[in-house]
Amino acid sequence: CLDIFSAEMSCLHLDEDSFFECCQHLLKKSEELRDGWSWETVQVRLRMQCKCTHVCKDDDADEGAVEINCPAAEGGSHLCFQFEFHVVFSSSYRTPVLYFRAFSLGKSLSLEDVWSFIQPKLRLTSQDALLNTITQQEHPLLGQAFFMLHPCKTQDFMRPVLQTAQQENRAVNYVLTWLSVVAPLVGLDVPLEYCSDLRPGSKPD
Amino acid sequence: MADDKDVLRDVWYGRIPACFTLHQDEVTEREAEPYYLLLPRVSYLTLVTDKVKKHFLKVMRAEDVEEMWFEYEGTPLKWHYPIGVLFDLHGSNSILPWSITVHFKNFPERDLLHCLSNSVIEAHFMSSIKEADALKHKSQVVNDMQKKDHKQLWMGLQNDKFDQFWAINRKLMEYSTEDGGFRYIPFRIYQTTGERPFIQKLFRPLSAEGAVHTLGDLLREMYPAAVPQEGEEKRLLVVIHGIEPLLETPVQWLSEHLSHPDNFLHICVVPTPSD
Amino acid sequence: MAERRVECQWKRHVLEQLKLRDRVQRHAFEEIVHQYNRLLEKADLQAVLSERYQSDKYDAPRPHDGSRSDALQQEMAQMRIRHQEELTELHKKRGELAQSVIDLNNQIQQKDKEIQSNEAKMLEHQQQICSLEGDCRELRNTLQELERANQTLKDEYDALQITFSALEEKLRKTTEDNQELVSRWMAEKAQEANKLNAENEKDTRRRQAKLQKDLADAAKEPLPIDPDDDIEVLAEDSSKGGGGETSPHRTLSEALPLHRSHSLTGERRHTNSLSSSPENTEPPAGACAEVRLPTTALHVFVSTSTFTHRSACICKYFYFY
Repeated sequence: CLDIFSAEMSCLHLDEDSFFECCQHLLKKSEELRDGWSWETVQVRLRMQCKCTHVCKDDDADEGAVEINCPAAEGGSHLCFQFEFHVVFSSSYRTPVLYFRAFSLGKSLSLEDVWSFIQPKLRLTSQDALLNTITQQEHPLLGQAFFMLHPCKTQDFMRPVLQTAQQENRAVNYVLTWLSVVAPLVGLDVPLEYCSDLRPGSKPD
Repeated sequence: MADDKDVLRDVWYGRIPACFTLHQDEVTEREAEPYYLLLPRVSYLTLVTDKVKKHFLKVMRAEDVEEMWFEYEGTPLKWHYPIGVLFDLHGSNSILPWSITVHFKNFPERDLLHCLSNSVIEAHFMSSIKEADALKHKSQVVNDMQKKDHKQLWMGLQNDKFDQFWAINRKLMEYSTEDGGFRYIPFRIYQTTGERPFIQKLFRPLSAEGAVHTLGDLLREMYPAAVPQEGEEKRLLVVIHGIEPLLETPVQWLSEHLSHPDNFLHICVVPTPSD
Repeated sequence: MAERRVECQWKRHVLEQLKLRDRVQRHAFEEIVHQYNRLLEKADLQAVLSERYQSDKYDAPRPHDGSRSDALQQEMAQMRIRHQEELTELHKKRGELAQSVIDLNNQIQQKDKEIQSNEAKMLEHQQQICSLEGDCRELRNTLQELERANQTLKDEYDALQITFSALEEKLRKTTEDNQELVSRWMAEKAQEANKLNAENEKDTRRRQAKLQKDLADAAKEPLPIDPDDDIEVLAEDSSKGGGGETSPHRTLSEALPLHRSHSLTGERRHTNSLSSSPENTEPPAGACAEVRLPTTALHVFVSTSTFTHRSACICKYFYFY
């Protein structure tokens, strides 16, 4: 398994098979941590990784939400948001792409709603920069409306990480590394434990 | 070649006669006549239907009007697909003009993307062009262009200006002679059946030995059912821009001349019409 | 070639299919849609106007109709304003378009003129090109002919050069041979002469010696002086060749060297000169015991050269006895 990762390091690009391998590793971890990721197969050859999270947000609270499994239909001052995250491989850009959508009480959330939810969690700069990167797109495998984080900048931020790892002869799980960068932008939590046994005894990325 | 230029022009100026009818559930103050329009095949529904909206708004109350969306025989029409693709996929077996139903309520959130301004269409159009160039030239050509060039592409499409558009688009259709073609061909194969909206995979225009790949080669790899075997009856039509190119047409030429303005070759596979 | 045909086939197919598609989907509907929309506009306007007139007819405001006619009137007014604006806009546009039509027409005329003048120039140039080509061809032909003639001359020259060299070589060799022969002949002649001279000398000395001896002998002999002894011995002795005086003659004859005569071909012919040659070439001198110098040449050896510039070499040989 580790060999796959080191083979990956020799090129800065991902292909479908190594994407699959990376995801398998993630899924194993996810099972251990009960993080809720699952693998969906659409029409035999098509695969993606998805996760459904129930997130509850307290209206009164300023800070962001806590991930708890709570049933969607709960009244009171709590507003439950249901997020769905999908990681799909883009053959055009040779990178993973993150798709997500959110519902509240069965109704889809607009980009503004999502943004207002995410923004407190982020200490990022301008709204514009992010709105330029998140657009509503058709899910390539399901054909439904999702928000997508545009993959055109992925190579830019992955390259230095991969190069450094190559120099230091460290194994890298492309998908995990990438996810750790983009997930905060959409309010997705990726616990540090995912990196713990990438290589026994090594420190996490 | 003069022929090639003719093809580019015919593709750009292709039109589909459509008849827009308001859905019966929509509340109107008086009867709304249908609105006829020649739709450009290469454009997008929400870009060219301002007049349709104006026409129907005349007979409706402001409070009943939400985001306009279109449907054909129960299927919501995705505005982010080129109009020609929607017609070839859904309406090619119908009689002309193509009857489209107009809605102002009950927007299908799951199935359709929102389109609240032209800048959304522009963003979508440009992202298609960028993705196509990522496949063709590793994004080098599109990244080397200035912002005004990107703007010119969009304005050319929006205002139906062939020369303005192709002045910039021709750069996206270039390739070095030693490569013999693009790196990969940007294409999407649409079908009416199945869960998946389209098939998009990596496909080279030339084989490792330098042989030219044809439309037949592409289909045999990506959608074998579309290529009938010996003795088999043809059950599926392969339609691009409303025509059926011969299977021996090279994909490189198709990509250069029969792509849509978004630089993708949109291929529809539909059942043969049973009379 | 087959590739071009196949290429033409699928390309032509695409072109034909596109034209067919446009005929069915566009051209068949273009006009009718346009006209329909115009009618629609007109109908809308008519509907609004007719409703307005209707409401005007019933001047008394009806409460339940009021809001409706108000709305209609408002709509009408709005539409009128909108149409007025559109009309002015269209007028302006029409003016602009008319202006641009004029401008474009002018441009077209200008371009046509330019095209005409360019075509005329092109024709002229074409003619010039034709005539220049003709000249060029002629010059090339002439050149070819001259080249051929030149080549022929060169060949002849080369042949002559070869012949010349051969002949020169031959001459050189012949001259060499000649020189060699001449010098050899001269050497031999010199040798001969030397030999002759030496022998003559020897002979002379011997005769002298003999004479002296005879004289001495004679002096020794007591000769009776006879007053009758006359010196008429000479006449008697001429035929016999006796006496002291005749003996040198005989001895001289004996002493005459052998003649060697050379022909130009280098052959040597020995002639026995003891008896013949002096008698052949000279008046008989046997009776006379005088020593005298020959006045005429025995042999004349002439050597000349016709090909070289060497001076003619004439040798005369003198015989001393």
